[in-house]
Amino acid sequence: MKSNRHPSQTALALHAAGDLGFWRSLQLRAHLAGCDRCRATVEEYRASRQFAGTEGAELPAGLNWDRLAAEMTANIKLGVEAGQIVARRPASRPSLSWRAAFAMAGVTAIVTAGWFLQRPTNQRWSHQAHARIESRGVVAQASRAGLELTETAGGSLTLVTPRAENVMLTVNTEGTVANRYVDQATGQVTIQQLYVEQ
Amino acid sequence: MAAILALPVWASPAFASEDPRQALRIQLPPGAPVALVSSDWGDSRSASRGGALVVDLRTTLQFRNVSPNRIRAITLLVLAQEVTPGGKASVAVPSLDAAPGETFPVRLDLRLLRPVQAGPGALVEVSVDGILFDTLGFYGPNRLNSRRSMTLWEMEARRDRKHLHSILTAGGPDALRREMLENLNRQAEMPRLDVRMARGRATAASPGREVSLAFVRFPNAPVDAVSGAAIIASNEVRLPRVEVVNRTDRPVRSVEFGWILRDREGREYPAVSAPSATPVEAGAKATVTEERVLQFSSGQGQPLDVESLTGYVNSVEFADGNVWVPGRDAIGRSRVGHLVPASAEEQRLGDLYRRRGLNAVIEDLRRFHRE
Repeated sequence: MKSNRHPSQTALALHAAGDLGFWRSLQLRAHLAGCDRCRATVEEYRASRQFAGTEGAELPAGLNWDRLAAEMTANIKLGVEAGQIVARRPASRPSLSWRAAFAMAGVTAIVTAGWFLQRPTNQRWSHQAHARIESRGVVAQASRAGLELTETAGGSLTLVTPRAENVMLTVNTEGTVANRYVDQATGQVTIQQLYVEQ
Repeated sequence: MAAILALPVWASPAFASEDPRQALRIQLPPGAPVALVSSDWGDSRSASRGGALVVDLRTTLQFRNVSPNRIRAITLLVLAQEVTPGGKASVAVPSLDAAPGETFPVRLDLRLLRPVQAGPGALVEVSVDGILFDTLGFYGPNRLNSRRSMTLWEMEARRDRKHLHSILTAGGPDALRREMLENLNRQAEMPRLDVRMARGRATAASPGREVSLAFVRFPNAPVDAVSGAAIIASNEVRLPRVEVVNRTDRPVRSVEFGWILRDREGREYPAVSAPSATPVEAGAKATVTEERVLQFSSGQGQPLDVESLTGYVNSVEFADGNVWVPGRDAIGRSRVGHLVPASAEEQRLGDLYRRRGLNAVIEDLRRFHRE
């Protein structure tokens, strides 16, 4: 069955997360069977969720959870208020009631918490990857925050890795460690590298 | 004599209390294919902490391509000899496409910690180690062997762009979207380990057991691993000895292996990249030996109980400087395809897709395809 009317982005996002109700999900699946555009959108939402799960797994150890919780609460509140502003506009369909708005905010909070609490088990291996190479009084250490070269005398040189979505850390047996990331300011792949034996 | 360009770090009030000449110096030899156009020092600063001085250097260097060829990659050598005399650093940008006359940025974000009483002179020297052109021609002193690295990145980039362009041509935007999503998922699901490496000394209490190595062979690989062994003791691997054979009539300068580690619970991880500058004559055999000890642990610092290692030839550098990389189809069909790390170009295109959407990727692929 192919419907001419496309589901809302919210419905597609909730369906991608498996959070849409049974009957609504059934209707939406029927639409998706005949609509390439909406099917692609659902796939993109699923990919985004996958990335959010990974990035969540790589949160820094020193994260201020109280501040994060406060920001999340503020964002949810802001989302509800924004929803209420939008709801004041004349609409061809009945707008969401405040009960529904709060229910959706609840769903948002649960989904967000779910990303932190229900990460796939293999993801726990993907965070805090570190590397360390020791050679002739020089130590090279790498983490997603940067690469540090330290002398026994106490001096150090650090290549600071800017905040990036996906930092790949590699080690090679020639005695080098590297961080590879896409610089968000320039869109360029950048590779920082430390050499302790060349 | 090299032209020395001392950049105006001292113009920043943050450096007012320090000798500005100790900050950073950029050396570009006469006739270099790039010229430094400008530098933005942002929030660079220095501060004393106890008996030490902490210097943060944050700059974006704008280079102009003054050569007649398009630049595909650049590697800058970063030396802080007074601070870390035993080590070097580099910042490289692959997957560039700078036409003659065009400018491109390279960001440097460095932090130095040194005694306050250090002598005069530049703290950091930055110079060009290598530049790779679209002709695969190379410029630079190559002290870091950046020619091999940049040629490898460029060959992988050409392979991956060709692969994605063929998917776009054969299956249209929807097929390309599916491929991009699969790539992103593969990158996100790639398991990672903590690695500690030292030269030639065992640290585990147990003497370990000798384990025969397994190899995955890619079709058309110019070099094959014939046999090999490593000593494994708990989470420690004393790096392998591998016998290789050159199946071509061209001499080989170096071979790079990728190693995949399997733990006792059957989980597999991409472990380490092992380039080895072992020459292999045409049609001959050679033994690659590494005196290295590697220790692996999980993200929580738990030692990983290593069961076995599987290797594959990730790249081959010929004596003439050409580099072979396995084909995308061959990687995809192999047993270890999902554990082969994404190339720099895959990472760039994946980021482009996530930030700017499928049309931006299509435009990028078509731009390179036209050249």
